[in-house]
This record gives sequence, structure tokens and C-alpha cells, in this order.
Amino acid sequence: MMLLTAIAEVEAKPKRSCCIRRAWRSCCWFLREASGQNAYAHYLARWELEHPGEEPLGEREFWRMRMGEHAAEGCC
Amino acid sequence: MSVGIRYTQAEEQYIIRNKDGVPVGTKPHTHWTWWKVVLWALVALAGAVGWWMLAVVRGEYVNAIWFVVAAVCSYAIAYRFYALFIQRKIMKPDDTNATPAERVNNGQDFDLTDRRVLYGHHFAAIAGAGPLVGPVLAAQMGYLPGTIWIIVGVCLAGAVQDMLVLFFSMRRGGRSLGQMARDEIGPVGGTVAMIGVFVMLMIVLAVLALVCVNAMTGSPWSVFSIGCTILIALLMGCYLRFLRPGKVLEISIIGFALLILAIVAGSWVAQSPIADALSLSGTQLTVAVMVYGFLAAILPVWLLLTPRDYLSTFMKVGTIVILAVGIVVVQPLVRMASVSEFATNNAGPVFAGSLFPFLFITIACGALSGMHATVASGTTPKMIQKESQVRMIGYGGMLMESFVAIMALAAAVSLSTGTYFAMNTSQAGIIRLDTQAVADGVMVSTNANGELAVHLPGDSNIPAGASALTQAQVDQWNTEITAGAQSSASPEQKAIGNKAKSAAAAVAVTQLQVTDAQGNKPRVEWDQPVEGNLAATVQVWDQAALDQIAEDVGEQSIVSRTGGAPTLAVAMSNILHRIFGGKAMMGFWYHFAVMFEALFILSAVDAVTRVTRFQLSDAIGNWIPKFREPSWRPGAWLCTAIVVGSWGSLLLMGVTDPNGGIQTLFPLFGIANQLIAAIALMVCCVVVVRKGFVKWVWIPGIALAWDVSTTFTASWEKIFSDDPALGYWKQWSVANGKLAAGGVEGQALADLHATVRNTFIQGSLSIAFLVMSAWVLVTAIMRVIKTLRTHDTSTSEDPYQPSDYYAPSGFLATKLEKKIEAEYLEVGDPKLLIGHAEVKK
Repeated sequence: MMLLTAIAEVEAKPKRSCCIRRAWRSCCWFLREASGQNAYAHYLARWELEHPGEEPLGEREFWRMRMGEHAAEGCC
Repeated sequence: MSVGIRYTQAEEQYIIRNKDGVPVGTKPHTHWTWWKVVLWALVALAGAVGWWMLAVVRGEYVNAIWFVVAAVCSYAIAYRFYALFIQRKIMKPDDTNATPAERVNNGQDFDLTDRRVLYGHHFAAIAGAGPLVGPVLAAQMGYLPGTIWIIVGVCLAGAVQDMLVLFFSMRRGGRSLGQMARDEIGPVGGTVAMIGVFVMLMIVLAVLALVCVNAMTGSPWSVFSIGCTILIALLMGCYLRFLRPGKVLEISIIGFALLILAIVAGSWVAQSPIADALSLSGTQLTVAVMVYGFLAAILPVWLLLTPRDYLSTFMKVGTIVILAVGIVVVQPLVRMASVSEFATNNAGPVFAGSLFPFLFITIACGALSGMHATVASGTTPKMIQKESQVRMIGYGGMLMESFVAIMALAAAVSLSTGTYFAMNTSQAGIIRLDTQAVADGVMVSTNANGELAVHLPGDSNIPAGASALTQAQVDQWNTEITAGAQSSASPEQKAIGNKAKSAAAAVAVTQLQVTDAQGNKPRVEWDQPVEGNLAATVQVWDQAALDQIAEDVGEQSIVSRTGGAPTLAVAMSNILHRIFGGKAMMGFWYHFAVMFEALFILSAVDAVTRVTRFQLSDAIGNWIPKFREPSWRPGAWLCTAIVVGSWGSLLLMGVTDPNGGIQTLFPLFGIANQLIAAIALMVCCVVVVRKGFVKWVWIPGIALAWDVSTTFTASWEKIFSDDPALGYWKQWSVANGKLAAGGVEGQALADLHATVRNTFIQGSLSIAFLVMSAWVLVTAIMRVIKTLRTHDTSTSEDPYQPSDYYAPSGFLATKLEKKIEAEYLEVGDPKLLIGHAEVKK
């Protein structure tokens, strides 16, 4: 849980700081990107550019729509 | 232009800009400096030392760290020089050309994905149980052939295939391999290729599931913890759907913690009264896996597939890191011979057949795997940012998978040769070897615990109480083992059966015509760890050793646990307990290893079932259009049932095979997988020729030639060999002859009928694979000849479209690349920058 709050904190206040912090932040960024957790944020950013002024989907609706479509791939 | 970013004049001339002045790439500008030359010379030297220690130095046991050194240095050199060479000669990536992700950029499947993130995705999609299983099985030929094939194979074939397929698919909007085959080779060859791939996938699934079933048979601990993974996945699915949508990381961490808890709880379950109910037979587990596969394929993906995929990815990365740490820190010694006698004859008990061609089909994933072509075409190419990143993702991703295979091999060969063969010889094989031991006059004695010790005729100090092994004793073992394996067996019967198994196996391994690293005949030997003292071990031998291993890892028996997964799990537990947790943790590590392999396999089973179900619906839809409607439930269920029935019946055949399913089915699996690679490489060759690079067609050509020669020879031997251990049809006719002669009854009669049925199916499949692949090969060659004659270099590539996007090419951005990235952040198209690490919300 500590890790989670730390991830949330880094998300909340990005500021210039020492290299360890930078590394930690990159690491969190990588995890959020790789796990797909950032998908909603990306969707909002895209929506703002493509449909300015219109109301985007709420977070819950977005995930409901998204999780219905992706089937995982498996390999050897 | 931009504010705040200053380039030197030298830097500016390397930047490629589009007509609007936006940077889109860099020109090649590597300069050899003296320290780079020294660095690469050192890498080459270290690699040479590693190879020298593995291949030439004899006498003492080889340290497993040399596997890591030889592999990493070889990969570095291949990546830096050979992959770059291919990039310059064949791919010629053009960063002024937009990739499919930039062209479509819909935020869904076509999504510009950071190269490092995409590398992770791609690796997670290609790696699974394959690189962990094949090398373990191939270890019966010694460690050296497998090591050479894994490392040389990946550099010259596997990584080349992955990279080229990825590149060609990327140039064609991310089209799938099957579609590219149709486009490049022609509709007939392409259709045959698609059908072939479908049938081969069924065999691949059946064998993977067989590995999983063999690891769970008679193991309540494994059944419990693997069963829990399904419940945990369901829980995660519901959490993400209803409680906190989108919080993928936190639920993955919770899921991972629950997994660990499930493994720990498994040991309590194994000692509780419900253990007996969870000690399932192979047939029961087959039904369970089929039911699971069916449900997983028809349930919504968010409920089971997606969350289970998060879990398996977490486990994948975690396990690989742990295994690498274990091998580097513990540095186990290699107990297996470098090249064993089974490399040159057909007598190997794990699978029949000599080094050429069977090594090259047994180790597929890790050296060359056709399955990867399905990922490298279709998913990854739609997400790539710049054409110049293909080398890093395609070639680099495969190198990582190969590294996993090398570590699995290094771990497996650190077990004593006797232990390895006791675990990997089928039950029928053990009894045959025991009968031979009676004829050879092997002596046995029992210790105070009633455990059997083996004395070979020439041994110097045979104790006074030793007596000759009798056929009656062997028959009694056989009866006890058979009784203990019944689903209805009582716990006492099972215990007696397990004791009989280890006694029979301890004798059997001494009869194998093979020697270990020191040139000795194999004996089961185990360095039993001492509680509380990591440095101390007590050596135990023969039956006592097998019983002790089973006790140490928390299993009822480890004899005849074919398929590779349990062998790797024992080896990993033997290595990892020395760093993490000591003897008390051996059971945990064993079941950790079994669980992650099962998790990989189940992921592959349900994902491929789902994908092939859609393909089947589409195909049937050609005649009955209603099947094309995804929402028509009966159609979806029927197609799923057909797919599950196809691999399930093959799985059942393997589980009930009298000769042990892995021994007979694994070659078929290897051939199928490598034939898919052959199809992928044929497509690559045709594309290269049609691009007009006839001069460089040898690059995919050597991989294709090697792959075709090994798979076709292997298929040929499986069909036509006169050796019943090898040829399916010879085995079939021998069994038919015995049936016709009569005089067989009971279990033996049932076994004969099973052999006739199984070898008929396996033989027919071998013929089908061979004919289909030959067909595709011939049509591909005809296409090449036609192209050469007509000089028709028309291409199915998407037309050029100028790029408006910039991202660095390699893992680490250079100083110049960082500067350009900073400039692009200011001048670039905001839509293309969605998701960029440095863009503030």
C-alpha cells in the first residue's frame, strides 16, 4: 500500500528534484503506461483535442467500454 | 524555430526534417572511437571465454555462470552488428515515412506507444512456457547442443524472423501473417498456410496443456494453488469492473500478493484431509482444463482473460529476474554431460531421435519460434512509433526470450543426471528398463527405512545383504504403481504406489546408456539441504534420494513427471532456497515455479482458443452467414466447443498414452511450431525478393533452409522410420501385429489398442503437416521464380506518407536524440504527443 500512495503522490506533484526521484518517477510512469492504467488520461487528452467543448465519457463508462474489447494474446 | 534548444552545426546536419521543418529522425552517425573499439573487443573476449569454458574446458564441473556470460556477450555482438547489418541491407527503415500508429492514431489498437513500453508488451506477448520447457527436455542430449542452438539459432534465425516479420507487417498497416502470405505468395498457398497454422495451433495447445496437466497430476498443492489463480483472476476482474475501474496497478499488486498466499496456503492444504480430494488423475485434470478452456473462451474478457493476463505478466517478469539472480548468485555447477550419448542414437527416454533433426524441433521458443510471427504481425506493428525502432523491439525482444531459455537450461542441467532422467522417463519406460536390469543381474539392498539401494554388477563394495533384482519384484512394482494411479485409489494405495515408483526409477536410471559430466553411469543423487545451515548438505542416493526430493519440495512423488515443468521447478527450488529462505522454502519455490508455468500455459490455452474460435466462426460464416454474427450465442458456443474438442481430444490422447504423452507428442508439437516458422520465413524471403534485394535473400534464407531441413527430416523420420521408438507408422504396424497375433489381455490389450489409435492419429497429422508445408514451400518458390523472371517488384506495402512525428530509436536516447525530443515537444502535433512521458496534463 505504501507503494501505491507513493505512486499517487508522484502523480500529484511533479517537481524538479534529484536523480533518484527522477528515476523513481520514470519507473512509476513506465509501470502505469505498461499496465495500461494511463489509458483514461490519454483518452481525456485526446477527447479534448478532437472534440473540444463536448463531454467525454466518465471514468467508469470508459473502462467498461474498453475492457470489453481487448482479448489478451498468448504465445509459446 | 524552437526556443531554448541549440544544436551545434555538426548536430544539425544529422537531423532529418520534413517539409515543415519538424524533426522526424536522425541520419546514421556512429563514429568509432578508441574506447568503443576497446569495449567491443572486451565484450568479444568475455564471450569467447564463456564459450571456451562451456565447450572446451573439461574435468571439473562447469559453473553455470558461463552460460550467462556466453549468452549475453553473443547477444550484444549480434544485436550491434548482425541486426544492424540486416537493418541497413534489407529493411532500410525510413523515419520520414509515417508508421501505421502515426497514420491512424485512433488511441485504440493503433496507438503510438513509447518504445520501452512497447518492448515490454512485445516481450510479454511472445514469451511464455515454451522457452522454459523445450530446453529442459533437450537436456537429455547434454547441455552443449542446446546451448549452441539457443544462442546461435536466436541470432541467425529466431530474432531475424521476428524482426523481419514485424518490419514487413508494419509497412503493410499491421497485416497478419496469414494475410501477408496470401498477398505475397498467392491465394492458394496462403489459404493452405492458414489452414495449416490452425491445425498446428491445436497440437501446440494440446502439448502445452499436457505439460500443465503432468505438473498437476497427483499434486494437491499444485491443483490448489493453480485453481486459486482462476479465483484470483475472477476477483480482479470484478474489482476492475465494479469497484475501482482502471486501477490496474493496485489490483495487480493485490493479485500478486494473493498468488503468493495461494502458494503458501497450498502447503497447508496438502497436509490437510482435503488433500486426498485434490489429488487428481490425469484424465480428471484433462476434463478440468477443457471445461476451463471452454468457459474462459465464452465468458466476457474482462472477467477472466484480461485480469489473468495482468497476473501472468507480473509473474513473468518477477520469475525471470529471480531466476537470473539465482543463477548469478548461487552459480550452480553443471552435472549433465556436455554432449550425451542420446545425441547420437534413438534411445533417449525423454523423446526419441538423434541430435539432427530432433534437437532443433524440441527447442523452438528461445531459438526460433513460428508462434512469434503471429504477434510480430498484427499487434505490435500497429503501435510502433518510428521505423528505426523495429530492431530494438523485434530483434531485442527475441534476444530476451532466448536468455530465458538459456537460464532454464542452465538450471535444469544443474540437477544430477540420474534425478533428471528419473523425472523425465515415462512409467512404461521405467518398467522396461527395470526388466533389462533383471537380465543384467543388478543387485539391490534395502536400508533401515526400507529404501532401496542399487548395486551394479561391477561395483566394488556390494553389502552382504544385497540380492539380485527379480522379475517378480519388478512386476510387483508395476502392479503397485498401476493401482496407485487409479482415480479410485485409497491414500494408502497411492503411498505404496509412490514408493514403488521411486524404487523402480532408481533402478531404471542405472540402465540408461548414458554418462554424466564425470563420465559415470547415472545414479539418482540429491544433496539434501540441512535445516538452518545453508552451506551443509547430506548426500542421499537412489530411492532415498527420490523420496527425499519429493519430501523437500512438498510433493507425493517426483518420478515420471514428464513435460519439463516439474524438472525446472525442482532445479529452481534447489537454486533459490540457497538465497531465499533456506530448506523450509523449498516447497514454496517448487510450487512457485510450477504455478507460473501453469499460468503461462493457461493464458496461452484460453487466448488461442478464443482467437481460433473467431477464425473458425469466420470460416464457417462463408457458408452459413449467421456464424459471422458475434452476438449469436449458439454459434459462438458451437465453435468454441469444436476448438476445445480438437485440442482436448489430442490432450486426452497424450494423457492416456501408454508410452507417456510427452515422449510421443512433443516431437509433433515441435514440428508444428517450427513449420509455422518456416511459413513465416518463406513469406520473408518472398518479400525480400519482391523488394528487389535478391542479393540479400540469404539472410532469411539460411534460417529458412535450416528450419526446412530440420522439420522436413524430422517429419520424414516420424513417418517412415523403421525404428518403432521413432516412426509413428512403424509403431502402429508393430502394435497391429501384436494384436493380430493375439494372446494379449487386460491392461496390455487396452494399451495396444490405445497405441494403434494414437500412432494412427499422430502419423496422419505428421503427413498432413508435411504435405501442407511442402505445398506452401513450393508455391513460395514458384512465386520467387516468377518474380525473378518478370522483374515484377510491385509491392503490397502501403504507399509512402510523410511523417510528422519524432521519437528516439534505441533503448537509451543519445544526447542529440534528447535534444530533438525536447524540440519536438514544442513544435510537434499535440495529437501525436498524447501519452508522451514529458507532456504535462
